[in-house]
Amino acid sequence: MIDNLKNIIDYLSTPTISFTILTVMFPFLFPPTDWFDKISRKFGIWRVWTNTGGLILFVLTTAFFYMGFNDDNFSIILNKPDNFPIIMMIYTMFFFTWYGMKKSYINDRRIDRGKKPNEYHDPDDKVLVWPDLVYIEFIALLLFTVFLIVWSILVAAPLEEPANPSVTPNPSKAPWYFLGLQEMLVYYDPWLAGVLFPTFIILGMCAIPYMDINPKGDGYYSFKERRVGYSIFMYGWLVLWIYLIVIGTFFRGPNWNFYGPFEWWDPHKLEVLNNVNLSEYFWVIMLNQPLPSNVILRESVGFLVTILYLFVLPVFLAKTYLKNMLKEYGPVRYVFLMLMGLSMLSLPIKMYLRWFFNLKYIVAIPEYFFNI
Amino acid sequence: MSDKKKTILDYLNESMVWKSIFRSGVPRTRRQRMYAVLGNVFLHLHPARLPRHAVKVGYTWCMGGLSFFLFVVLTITGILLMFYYRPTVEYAFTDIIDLGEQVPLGIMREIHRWGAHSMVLTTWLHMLRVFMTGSYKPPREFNWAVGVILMTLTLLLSFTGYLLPWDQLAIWAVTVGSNMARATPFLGHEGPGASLLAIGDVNLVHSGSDVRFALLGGRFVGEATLLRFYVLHCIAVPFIAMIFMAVHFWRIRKDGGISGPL
Amino acid sequence: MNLTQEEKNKLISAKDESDWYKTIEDIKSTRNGLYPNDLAREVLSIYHNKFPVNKYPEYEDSKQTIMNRKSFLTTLSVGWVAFAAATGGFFTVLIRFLFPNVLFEPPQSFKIGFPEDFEPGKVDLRFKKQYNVWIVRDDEKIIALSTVCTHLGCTPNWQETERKFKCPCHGSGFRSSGINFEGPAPRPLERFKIGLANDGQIIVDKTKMFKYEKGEWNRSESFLKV
Repeated sequence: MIDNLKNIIDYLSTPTISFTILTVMFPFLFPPTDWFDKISRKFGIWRVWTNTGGLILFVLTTAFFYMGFNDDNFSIILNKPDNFPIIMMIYTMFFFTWYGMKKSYINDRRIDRGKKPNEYHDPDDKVLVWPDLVYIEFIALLLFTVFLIVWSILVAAPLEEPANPSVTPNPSKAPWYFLGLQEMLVYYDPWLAGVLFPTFIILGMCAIPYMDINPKGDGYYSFKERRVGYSIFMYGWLVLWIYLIVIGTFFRGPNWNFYGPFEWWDPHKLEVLNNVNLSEYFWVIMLNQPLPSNVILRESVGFLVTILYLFVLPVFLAKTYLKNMLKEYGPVRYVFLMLMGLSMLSLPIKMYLRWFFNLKYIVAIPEYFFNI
Repeated sequence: MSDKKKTILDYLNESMVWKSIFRSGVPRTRRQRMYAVLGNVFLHLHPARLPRHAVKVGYTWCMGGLSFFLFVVLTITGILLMFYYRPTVEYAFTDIIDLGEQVPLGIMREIHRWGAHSMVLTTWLHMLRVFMTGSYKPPREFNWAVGVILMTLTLLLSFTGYLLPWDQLAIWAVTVGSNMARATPFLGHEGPGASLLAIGDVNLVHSGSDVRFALLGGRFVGEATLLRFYVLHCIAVPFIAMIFMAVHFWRIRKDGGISGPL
Repeated sequence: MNLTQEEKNKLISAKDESDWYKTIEDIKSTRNGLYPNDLAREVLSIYHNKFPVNKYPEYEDSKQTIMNRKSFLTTLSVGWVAFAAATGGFFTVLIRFLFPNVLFEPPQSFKIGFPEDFEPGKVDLRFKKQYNVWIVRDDEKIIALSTVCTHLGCTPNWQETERKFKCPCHGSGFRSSGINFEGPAPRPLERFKIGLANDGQIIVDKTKMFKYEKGEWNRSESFLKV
């Protein structure tokens, strides 16, 4: 019975399935439009953001980790001292996302009824920093210090064998907070996943206040008033960053193969990874002829697809579906949002192309290290 | 009045030395409590009075404060660790072992390491809170950008520190992490466009002259890298982070204090 | 009582100021020292005409040397460009500071033994640790393969049973020839320059690399015929 459950969890957690489930569920958990909201309410999905939902979430997560610590295979991974922060991350991210959303839903209902949000107090009714805030800070600081010292006494900081440049451990992983990037590296070339995307992430994050021109929801928890931007951010944050870190930590084993949480990390596990470039699909498989020797001609299809996606698609959208958005946001914001949004969207797209078509690169010019 | 006996504390509070330090006296009245904040350079990070919602942990999650607190903890434990640690290939690893076994109170490295992991988490949660409450919206948009830079610096601090124990975990995590730099467009020797920067047959950007070399001080992670990361970790990045932190805290006050509903 | 025409002419024709004062004294003496205000006014007006007073001599002088708006802007921009160039130059030199002149890394060129030491069809792992090369011998040639994965620079492991190099970082796979066939690696492993030294030993030179995708594996230095 337990073994069956473990097998099911192993199966469900393969990236193909878990990522799809998360992506499909996501708009119902953070509904960006009325339609999603209606479905979310009809099936009671919104109840995740209530006390009952939070409790169920907590029990499920804890049960999962309880099973994990009692499992021969998973406990090896979970007991690695450097993986404890990830468990902490999962709990805190779950808790605080849930907590913030719960407060948002309560505030949304209040605003619908024409009331002020929960955080509102009479502006003249102020509290003194000494003692009201200083004591809270002091208590928070004390509690955290105690937590840190207890943690430090219980768990020794990891120290492996001395550095040896000629022996690469299998698997070798970046620090956990960069595992999202390392996971992207499976799908994208280093210059994209390691350089361009991080730059875009930092730039895009800095630009959020300048791109989000919706003045509502400033200074209190709310979702409905700013649901589109909110759900896009949350998708990037929870699925494309946190989830990828969890995958990279718990589910990536020797040779960077995927292993279910309860699976044994067998270093000889074979996975067929015969990836094919778009140019080969087009010239060899579709047109049944050898690859042209001219690089530009060889990769012309890839270039065409990339240009269509990055440059023609935004223009097309601006003339049709997103006409109002262009008018409202102005050309500069529109172009920037499209560039960032399409780059972000390109990650799941490339993931699915890899999973379903074994597509390696859309444009592949290894001679000049230019692969997309 | 006179029938109540003065305690030793009263004498202390009325002494010249005490009064010279804490001008406002024991903060008993409302006015004195405001002066206690205004007259103290550390407490003066805060205004004297706050709207009621701003002191609720449910609203602030206390994460920004904890991030700063952890920065202080890491600075102190880091300075203590520097007394024993030598950033050379020969000594680094054994010094780390000695830190646990030969030094009294051998949990200093643990506090430093777990504190660093916690700081990454607290900055992330702080960012999540600021997003969820929409606090990045005008007039606080610039401070959000400063916060994003601070978060990046936190990750860089943690990453540069990861190498210092000089064990297998460290060297390979940093190898994998820093290898991305070799793919930087134009600046990395395996980045797109790098081979175009050439005079005749001579490549300007090669493994001995690219951005990764500047980071590592060599073609691979070695002695020079350890020293560079040590300096970056202990001096350079904290220095930059402190500048940005000063701006961050100052701007909170200048942008109207903590966000809240109008 | 006014000046006569003759007196006026005399005053106007005075050569310089000392001549002028002499003329004034003459007029005074012809009038028995009488010198009323009216007369003074007339004399003064002639004096102003003859010796105009410059009210702001310094300003008038500097007017000649001060720059106009246009040249001011030119100078300013030249100044700023010079400043920017100097600062930029300084920081460029600072970047150069990050690249030392001497590197204490293992030698790039080394001898590995005689061709007979290597069995055909085998991947030799002995030089991996010290020099980061694999020596691969097949039926007709010996090659020196770089142990740096072309994806992110990890060191792959040779798996004898599956006859492939498998990278532990992201699962790239390479055949013994160095050709990539699975995983994210974008291109084959690099080969190093290999040749025979005078004493018959094989010498590997890591400073020269040969890349498959540039068609460099055909070059005679990239392999050793046996």
